Amino acid sequence: MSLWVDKYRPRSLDDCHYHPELSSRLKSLAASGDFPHILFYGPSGAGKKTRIMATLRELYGPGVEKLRIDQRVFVTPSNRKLDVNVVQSNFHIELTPSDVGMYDRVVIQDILKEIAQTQQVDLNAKQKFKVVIINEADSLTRDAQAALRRTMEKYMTNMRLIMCANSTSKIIAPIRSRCLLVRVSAPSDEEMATVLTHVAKKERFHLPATASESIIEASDGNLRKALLVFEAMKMQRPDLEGDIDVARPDWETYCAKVADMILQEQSASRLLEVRAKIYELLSHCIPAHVVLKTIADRIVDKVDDELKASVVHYAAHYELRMRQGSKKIFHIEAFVAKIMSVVKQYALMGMTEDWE
Amino acid sequence: MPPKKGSPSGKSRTNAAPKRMGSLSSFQPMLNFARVPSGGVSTSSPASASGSTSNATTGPSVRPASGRSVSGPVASTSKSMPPPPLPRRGQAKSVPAPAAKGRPATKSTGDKGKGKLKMEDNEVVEVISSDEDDMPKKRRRPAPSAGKEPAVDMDKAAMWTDIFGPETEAELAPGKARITKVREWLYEAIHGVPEAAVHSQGYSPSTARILLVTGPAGIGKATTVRLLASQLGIDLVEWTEGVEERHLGVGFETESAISKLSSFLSRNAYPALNLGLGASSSSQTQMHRPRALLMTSLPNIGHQATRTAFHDALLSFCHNYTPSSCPLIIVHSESGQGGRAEESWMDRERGGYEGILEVVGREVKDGPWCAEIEFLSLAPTFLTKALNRVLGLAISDPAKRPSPGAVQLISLSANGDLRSAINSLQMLCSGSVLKNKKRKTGESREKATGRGSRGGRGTKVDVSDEIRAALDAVTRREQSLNLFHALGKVFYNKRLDDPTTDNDDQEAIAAIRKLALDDPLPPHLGEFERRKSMVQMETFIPTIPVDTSMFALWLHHNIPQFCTDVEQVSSIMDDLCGADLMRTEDDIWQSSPQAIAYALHLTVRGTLMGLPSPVPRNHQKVVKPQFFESYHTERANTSLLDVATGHLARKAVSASIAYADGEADDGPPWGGTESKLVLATETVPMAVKIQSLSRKPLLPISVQPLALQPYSAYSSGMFLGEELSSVSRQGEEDESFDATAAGEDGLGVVPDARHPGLWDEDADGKQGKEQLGWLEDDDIEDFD
Repeated sequence: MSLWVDKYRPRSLDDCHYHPELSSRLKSLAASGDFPHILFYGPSGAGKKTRIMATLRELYGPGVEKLRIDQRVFVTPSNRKLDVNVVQSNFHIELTPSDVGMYDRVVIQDILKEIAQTQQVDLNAKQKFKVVIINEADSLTRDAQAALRRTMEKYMTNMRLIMCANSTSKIIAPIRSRCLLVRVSAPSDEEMATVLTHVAKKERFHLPATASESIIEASDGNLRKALLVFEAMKMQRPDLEGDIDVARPDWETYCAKVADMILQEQSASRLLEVRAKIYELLSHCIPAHVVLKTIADRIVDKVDDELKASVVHYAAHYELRMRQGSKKIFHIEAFVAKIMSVVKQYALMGMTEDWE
Repeated sequence: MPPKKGSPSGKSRTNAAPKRMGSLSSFQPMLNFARVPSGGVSTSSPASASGSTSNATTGPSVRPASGRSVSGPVASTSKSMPPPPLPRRGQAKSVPAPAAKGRPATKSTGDKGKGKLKMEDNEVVEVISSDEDDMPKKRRRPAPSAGKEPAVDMDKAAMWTDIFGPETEAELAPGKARITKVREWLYEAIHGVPEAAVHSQGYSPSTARILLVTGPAGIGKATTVRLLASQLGIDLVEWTEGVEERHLGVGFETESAISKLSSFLSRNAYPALNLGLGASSSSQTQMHRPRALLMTSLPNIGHQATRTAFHDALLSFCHNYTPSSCPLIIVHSESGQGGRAEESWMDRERGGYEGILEVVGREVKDGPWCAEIEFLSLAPTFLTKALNRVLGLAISDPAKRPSPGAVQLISLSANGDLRSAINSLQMLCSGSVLKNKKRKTGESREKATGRGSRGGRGTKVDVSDEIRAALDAVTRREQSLNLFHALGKVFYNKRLDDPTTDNDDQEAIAAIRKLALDDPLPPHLGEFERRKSMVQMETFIPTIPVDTSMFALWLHHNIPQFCTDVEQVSSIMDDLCGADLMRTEDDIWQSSPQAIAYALHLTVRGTLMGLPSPVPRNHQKVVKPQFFESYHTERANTSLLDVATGHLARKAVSASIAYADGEADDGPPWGGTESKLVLATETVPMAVKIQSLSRKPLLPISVQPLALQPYSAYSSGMFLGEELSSVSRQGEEDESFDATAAGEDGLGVVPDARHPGLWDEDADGKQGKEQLGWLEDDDIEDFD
């Protein structure tokens, strides 16, 4: 069985429920025969990869569905072996070079050269070029991006790049200027509601408006999250009627409870309890900045209006430090301690610290 | 052969030996704690006998380390050696030698004699290619001739650690239990059955192949092994790394160190053939003597290729083992513990610090043939005992020995390292000897500093200022405080005029009082005004036994319980953050030693500034930072995340192929691989949740640890300071809290998703092999 989020993923551009003008533009691009390098960008869960795959189907037909997973081994200049998993078909290859951290340049160069130097041998192929999909292009190192820039020009005949990123800000200007930038924005609430209703219809049940609203509210324009939450809720409470809890990921609930702990008591011993929870979260691969942000969000929701500004200020302050520093736990905990003392000051004296 | 020959020839060599000690390379082996009685059985005796210093072409890289006395025609050590367990012949006569400390010396003389004799006899005994031909010679030290002042002679000649090694089992410093274990292992490995079961029938043959002796440096691991081996009548064949490879010059085929090692292992796994002419009785006894291989220095296993080769060599050694082969003993000092807080890029690339797993490799470690005996660091009382013994041997005149207090001070400051303690002791004694001399000869010069007179008072001082000063100069500066001691200094934040001061502190207080007063702070900084701290940074910083980031972790983990207010914690945490920013590794400035030093200052000073004064004392317990455990779990979970990714991707891909082949109409379309962030925060947690609700397996059971523990308001056992007395009560409150929390915030209780029945158990079996690729620990994952 598969998750709804996979099951009801649109297969073709025509099936996409929102951004119809973008779909028609991509279709005409695929039909024109002059396909450019494309950089898809937009928030998480907006449908970038869905559209990339749909575009590929438009370009090559159902042949791209014949996928295989390969493990490729790359050797760095320092003779270290890197294993990278790539998904590919006869017409395209998909890789996530940022998985190998600072060695991404090696992976990029090797793969691109290999693809670029082999001609398409399938005479029935609709296009002469192959497509390389690069996931998480915004976390590529500068080196890798520079390597990319050069190959983009050099091997234009045999290869097209499709990159996928959350924002263009971390992508160097030369690459941006060589690509067609396609923004896939997050679906609006109505668009999301359409999608949810569509899924409900396919699953043959009725989705009440209240449930739909609460799902949409909980998922911040992230359609993937909305569908996951939707499925979990349906499993939890099959009728979906009445006042119903939104099924959130466990760690979000966990963070919210940690935030509540912080607000309940402000003391050194409470800080120790909070620390144990944070360690638990971190050891489950929840990124530290996500933990900090989620806790801060919850605290902002709960505290007095006068404190909101300083909570956000400190969240920003410590998140920056965390990204610069090396031990995440120090910074999250410093944030927690600071919030505790701010909340305590406010409760005792009814005033906020002047953080400016 | 007339045994007497040994001693005269030995005497002549006595004079030659010290000369060679000049060079650094020849000094090196002297630092080894264990005194290896060296000699000519398997070394190139001609070289050593002729006294030539460098013989580049042949020379033993392998030297038999003990039991020389048996095979050698010259009886050397019967006086001081423990009674040998096996009846031995042909060695009854002992060289007349001073009984107490003469043993090593006589031994060496014996060796020489033997060497020479061997040469005459033309008796060749395995000469294994090597480069350290003069190794045995280096081990020698001149025999103190009777009547000479031994101490003076001794400290010029060699390290006490070499000379006064233990001679009986009772004298060994490590604990009895471990010594017994080593002994039993040795016996079992050599004889095929445990000592206790020799006479019982039907005992299955032993699988003992490799013994790992681990533990901190300088606690007598190698010494124990050598001594026990000689007691059991086992010849130790020692592997030593060649260092003088380059001097071989051009034209020689240089064998890589690792291939040398492999051949060493394979060659020596077999009992030696009797190559002798069979005439001499000595060679016959030799044939029957069991042998064991000893490795105290390992190849550079930090290097990936070398390590793999080493593991392979060990594995094939285990596989090719026959009952007549020699067992292998690896003595390895644990290193890397207490090192860096998180392994840096470089370390991880090389595979992390040298745990025992890294040393021998997984297959060998998990196999039946490998045993590990871990030695612990020595308690000060053991050290004191051992030091007193050495002292008794070294300085015959009790009046000239340092006071018991001084010895105790040394053993306390040695951190369990006996070798370093003995070295310190020797330094101290040689110092006092020197001072004695000075007084006799040139007192006039020394008087100006007052040192002469102090030294002149001789070695008979109490543990007073003088000895303390001397010890500080000689030893303490290099030593470090115990970690907990250092942490305690910070945690208790003692300042001048604290209401409670122990009597011990008076001295220190007086010293602090003598310091100049600090300038008063300007009014706007008034909040930072503190009484003068008893922790003087300049003297404190160098005594911290761990590195900056480690120290910060310990402080961080334990500091909240020493604070009374959350504001204090907050200010301390702020400074820890600041220090953490300084010592990240991404650029040149930040990883520079200055930055690290500043970070340490900021850590300690910030903590002292933030702590209340005086710190309330309510039996706080200092515990190990949770950071490492969490970090390791995180890495394990990251690789599990890869497993989950692989599982989902394979399912999607196969569905996609089925669709393309027209086998299925509505396989879910491939949506591209998801990023780690999305997987960790959205897909996997939700998939866990959905499968726990729908009872349909989505993820393989092997990734089960990825599911969060259900939330509980109380922390698990890790937690410090909390009494664990109220376990049952705790459980009850747990539930009620969860219930109320659920009611209040509408978040619901985190369900326990760890129920095993929910997971895709087939998936694991099915993919077994495939999965390997994904299971590969992705150590690229940034730890920034």
